[in-house]
Amino acid sequence: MKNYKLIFTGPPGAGKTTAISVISDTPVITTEAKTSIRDSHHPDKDSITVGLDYGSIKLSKEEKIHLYGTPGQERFDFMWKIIKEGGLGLILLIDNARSEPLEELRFFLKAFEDLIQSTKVVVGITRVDISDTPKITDYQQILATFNLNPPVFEIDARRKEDVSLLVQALLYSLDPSLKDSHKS
Amino acid sequence: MENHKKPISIVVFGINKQTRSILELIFRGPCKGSYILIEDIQVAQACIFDIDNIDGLKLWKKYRIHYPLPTLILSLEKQDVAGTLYVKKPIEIDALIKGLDKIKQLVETPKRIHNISTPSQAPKDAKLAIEIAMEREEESLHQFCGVHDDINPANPSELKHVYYDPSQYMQGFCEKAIDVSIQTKNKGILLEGLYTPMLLRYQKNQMFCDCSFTKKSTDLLRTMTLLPVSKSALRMTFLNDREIENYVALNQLEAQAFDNFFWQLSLWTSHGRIPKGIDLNKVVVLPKWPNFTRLIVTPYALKISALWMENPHSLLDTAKVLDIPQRYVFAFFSAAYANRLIFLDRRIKQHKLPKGVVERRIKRSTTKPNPHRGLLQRLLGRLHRR
Ligand SMILES: Nc1nc2c(ncn2[C@@H]2O[C@H](COP(=O)(O)OP(=O)(O)O)[C@@H](O)[C@H]2O)c(=O)[nH]1
Ligand SMILES: [Mg+2]
Repeated sequence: MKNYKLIFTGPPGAGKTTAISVISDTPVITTEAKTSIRDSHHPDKDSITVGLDYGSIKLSKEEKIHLYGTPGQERFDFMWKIIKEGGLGLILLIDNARSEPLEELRFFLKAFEDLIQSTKVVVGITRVDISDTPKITDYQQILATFNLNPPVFEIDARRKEDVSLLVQALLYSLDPSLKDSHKS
Repeated sequence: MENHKKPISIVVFGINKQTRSILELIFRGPCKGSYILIEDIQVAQACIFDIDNIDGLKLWKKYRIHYPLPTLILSLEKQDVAGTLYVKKPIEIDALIKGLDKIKQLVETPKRIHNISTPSQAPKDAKLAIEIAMEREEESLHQFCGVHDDINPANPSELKHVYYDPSQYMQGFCEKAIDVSIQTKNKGILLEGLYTPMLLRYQKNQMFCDCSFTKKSTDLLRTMTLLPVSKSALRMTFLNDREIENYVALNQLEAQAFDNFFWQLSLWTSHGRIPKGIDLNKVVVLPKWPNFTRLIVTPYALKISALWMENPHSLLDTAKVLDIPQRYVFAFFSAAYANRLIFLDRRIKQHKLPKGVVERRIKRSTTKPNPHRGLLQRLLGRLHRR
């Protein structure tokens, strides 16, 4: 069996687990990795749990796409390195309702620079229903400073059509010659 | 007595919900399913027109020029319009049935040539919901992209079929309002002279109109977009915040996203064609990916965008390179163009490039496969299917 990965990343609460679950064939498994790193927000706890999401899409007996959702917090970036190995492309989700979404965009673009350079990225902006600023054009401006001009869609991670469209845009960005299944 | 014939498809104008329900009841009951209400005037065989409605007469004149269908006019007062039938309001069932009988005769002995295909909505009892859903999708696809075959650009008579003039339609009026909004930085503009008034707040990407997409009045809206406007009747009025508030409250209107609305409107109007004056050989520049999750995604729109983002092509070459029908390229282009997401590169004309360059480009953009193409293709197929 050949295995390929699509990687979903973004800050906590951006909708990674949700997005994976709406397109995965299998129920999403969230690995509760224990860590002894002290959490400044919860100094009383010795260990906290991080969520590494896993789902999959089976294409045939021989082929499977693994869907990985990275743990959101920065201090688990050692895990990102392992996860992103061999990724086909990156789906970056940003929560528009958090206090500094544009900063978060910058942060994740830097953290995943090598994967983005060697493959492609798409950006899904979530929770636009809760906060309608910043605007797509604000995100596009930041992306331009990284020399990137990828698809940036407003999505609701709970909507399958939205997530599917975002992934389709990633696939077409990777190869615009892919055949469309529309009848003509 | 059972009715074995295909029902006659009838489109209605200016008819309110109650009257509509009454018509549906009469069609099914006393008329034994001989008639059926449909939304799409392009495939309708006959029309029922309530002329007493706001702007009824004005709308009627425009309608008549473009759609010489057998027509039954409803009105409180006697209407003597050549070539039409008249039924007095309030509607008496017998009079209506008599009128419909005559309509039926007109439809069944057609005097004019018409190559209308059988309406896709003709009801068959055994149809599955999924089939109906697919037919609906197919039908709306036709509404957005048309059904025209590819044209040969060297043939002037074919060439003229790809063009339409947005200024003849509501689209042009909206575009004018956008220009004015941008120039004057105005808060809100009330557009009048259309079938129903519309309030535009361009800076906020909002519009207010009492026939929204969310309600079931898309048919009315679509009709409105397809009927040529009478330019002398069109009016724009600037409103301040206070006036906007009052207007919205008074008419109990809800805001809709304008870009979304205008995208759909321009697809309907374009119908797989492009605005007049657009050069088929000039390179199309798409600076950013459209926000597709909030727009109608016509066939191949993602693929076309991916190509243009990577390697701009002219409209004709796009269809050639991607090996897709021209109408899908034209429909997507027209919607993006009306929404100012796209422009033509003034400098480069592809047909002026040295011979062989276009061919090389085409080759380049089709022979640079991703090493995982097969896999990506299968994943795409899976995503399309759900
Ligand atoms: N209102 C709203 N909620 C969303 C949206 N997208 C995701 N959510 C919700 O946000 C919450 C966090 O999502 P989750 O997938 O756990 O985020 P994760 O931390 O990135 O895995 C869930 O309750 C989702 O249902 C959106 O666009 N709007
Ligand atoms: Mg999660």
